Amino acid sequence: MTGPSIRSSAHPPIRPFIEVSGLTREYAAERAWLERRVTFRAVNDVSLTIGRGETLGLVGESGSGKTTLGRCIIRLIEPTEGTIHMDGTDVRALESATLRQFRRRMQIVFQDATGALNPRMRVGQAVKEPIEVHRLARGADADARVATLFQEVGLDPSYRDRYPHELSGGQRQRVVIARALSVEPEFIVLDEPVSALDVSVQAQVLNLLGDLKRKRGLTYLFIAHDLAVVRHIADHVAVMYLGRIVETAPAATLYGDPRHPYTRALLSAVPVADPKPGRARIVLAGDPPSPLKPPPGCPFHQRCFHPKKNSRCATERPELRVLDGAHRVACHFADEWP
Amino acid sequence: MTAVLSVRDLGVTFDTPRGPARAVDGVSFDLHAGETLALVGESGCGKTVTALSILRLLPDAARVAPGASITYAGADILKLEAEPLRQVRGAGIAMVFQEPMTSLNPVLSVGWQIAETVLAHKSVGRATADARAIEVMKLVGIADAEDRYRAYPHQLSGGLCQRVMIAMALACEPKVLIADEPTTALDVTIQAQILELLVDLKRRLGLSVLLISHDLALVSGVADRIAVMYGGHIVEEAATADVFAKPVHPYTEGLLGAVPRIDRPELRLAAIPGNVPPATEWPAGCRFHPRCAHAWDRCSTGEPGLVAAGANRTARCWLIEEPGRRKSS
Ligand SMILES: Nc1ncnc2c1ncn2[C@@H]1O[C@H](COP(=O)(O)OP(=O)(O)OP(=O)(O)O)[C@@H](O)[C@H]1O
Ligand SMILES: Nc1ncnc2c1ncn2[C@@H]1O[C@H](COP(=O)(O)OP(=O)(O)OP(=O)(O)O)[C@@H](O)[C@H]1O
Ligand code: SF4
Ligand SMILES: [Mg+2]
Ligand SMILES: [Mg+2]
Repeated sequence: MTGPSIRSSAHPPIRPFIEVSGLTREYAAERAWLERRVTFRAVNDVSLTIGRGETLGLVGESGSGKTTLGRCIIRLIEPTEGTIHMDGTDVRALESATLRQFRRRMQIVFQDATGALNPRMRVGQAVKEPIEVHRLARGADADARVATLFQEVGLDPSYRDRYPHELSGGQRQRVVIARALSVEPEFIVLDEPVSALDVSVQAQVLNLLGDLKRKRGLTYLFIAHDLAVVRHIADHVAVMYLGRIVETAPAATLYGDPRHPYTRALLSAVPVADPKPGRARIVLAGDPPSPLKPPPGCPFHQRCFHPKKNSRCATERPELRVLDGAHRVACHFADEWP
Repeated sequence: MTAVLSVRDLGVTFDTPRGPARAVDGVSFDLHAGETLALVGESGCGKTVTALSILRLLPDAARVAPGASITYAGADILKLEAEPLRQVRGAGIAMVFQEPMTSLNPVLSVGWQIAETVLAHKSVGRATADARAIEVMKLVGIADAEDRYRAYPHQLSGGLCQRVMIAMALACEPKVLIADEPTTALDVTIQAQILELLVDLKRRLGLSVLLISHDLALVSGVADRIAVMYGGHIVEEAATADVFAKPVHPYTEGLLGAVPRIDRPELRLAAIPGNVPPATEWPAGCRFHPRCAHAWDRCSTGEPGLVAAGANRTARCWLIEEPGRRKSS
């Protein structure tokens, strides 16, 4: 892994707010025709950092391991290997009492707001409950906090008495965001928070998330498959493929000068709301390989179109190496594009 | 240009516990020979109901407005008897549905399912149908079509299943292909493959395509014309370039501002305030007025009709009569 950025001053280097190193999560793959159980790595040796107040966008195809990684970081799922530090504290070493304290500081918002809310609980109560569980406020104080939170996420406080089914999809996602905010977290994993919403409502929620981040100084891990949405909200972006990060860079670099062929293909495949021709689209052949049988060498080599691709790609896996500053790429020929 | 398919005054109402839901209302459009017309709009605006009406696949609970007509090959589909309707569904107009996995039968091999479609619409034998299945699987770019014939849906990726669905739709050589969100469930790199395939097939087979999508950006690259739907209405219809260069309807304008663009990051998106109301509660007047930045009192009382808004374009908005009311942004 690459550590925190090296500073030339006499002060000790400032550790990034979130620091993940060598994180791996294995799952057992049930294979009916085999007697024995096989394991595979849904997340494979991932290292990343997120600075305080920053947003890391995590993109990649379905099944590449984004959700698993996000959940491992906040210990909703136990990693198989690796370390996670938040604000300098080793999150994996925490015992239950201190872990509960840390849980408050790390929240998650899922894609499916409907599934995340209890259908028989009024949404005001859903937001109030974590406040009371974490003993941040009680009774009328807690109610006042709920009212403020509703206003903050753009919901009229009178909606507190409604049930989830009496709200629209966008309103439910606002409730879920209010609930995550209710315990005053510093770090939020947003797992496809707008994917289920219509574009007009998606824009409202994206604006809200941006405003909240700036106002409260929040740190986000923003998981999405829509690269246009990520461009809009992220400071840094990491691209996952088959459980590994294959490229990571500041957003402007990743979108302006992508170096991994997979990132290039992904970006060129994003439709642009503009009928003028002119963009050459790279259409990748084939499907992503199964994580149960990752190919030898570069995980991308079967679909790769890099003009320099050669036999080395099929045997030797490229490490995620520093190309330039914070720009890291796992491709043997990242700096050899024509 | 000749219209292969003409929809006129289509209205579809569902009776629900909360009253009648006017899912589609006063929808008229022509699909011209060899063109791709995109039907675009947010969830619940009536895209799928419109498509299902064309093939008469609506659930029994649906009531079609008495004045509606859908003309294909000189006949009104809404009035066809069972046998000619079967002909239209097979060899005339074919449809690809949104969820490839759930539209395929999980216990039958995909090749068998394609061959079944051929048998249902053509008087040919099993061997001919099987050969045709393999032929169309090759046509849609499925490698090892002979082997894949025997594969079950769960053994194929989402992208391959969607290719199978397209192969099935093309098996009886239709003139019109209706594709309802054909790439929504797919990853972006696979989405690009399927779009490329549709464009290529359209050109090679001379198809006319009705492409249904919620994604303006996606259709911008493939559609010749766009019809934007809101609240069961078509609110604007124009050539793709015109829609993007100068949207007439405030909803179209709003949608264009709300879509995050990968080539133009901005700090805030121009979100449209509010939500789409349920189909049982369309507001009086213009259905978009509670969310519209330009609305004035006329908009909340009178319902605008779909009228000409320049050369070869129509829109449903009072601003066409009173352009001075448009607020500059
Ligand atoms: N509980 C589990 N048991 C076994 N395998 C799992 C489990 N959860 C996830 N997986 C597998 O791990 C891999 C990564 O899944 P994950 O949900 O993290 O992907 P993702 O990138 O979030 O995908 P998506 O974009 O579809 O949400 C997939 O192959 C998935 O099938
Ligand atoms: N069987 C039904 N019973 C009652 N209402 C229905 C039925 N089918 C559709 N509707 C209603 O008709 C309206 C239009 O639905 P339709 O499925 O055409 O929307 P759509 O534009 O295809 O949306 P999406 O993008 O979500 O697929 C919706 O308000 C929907 O709730
Ligand atoms: S390492 Fe080789 S196969 Fe992998 S992405 Fe780079 S060029 Fe392609
Ligand atoms: Mg996921
Ligand atoms: Mg639909």
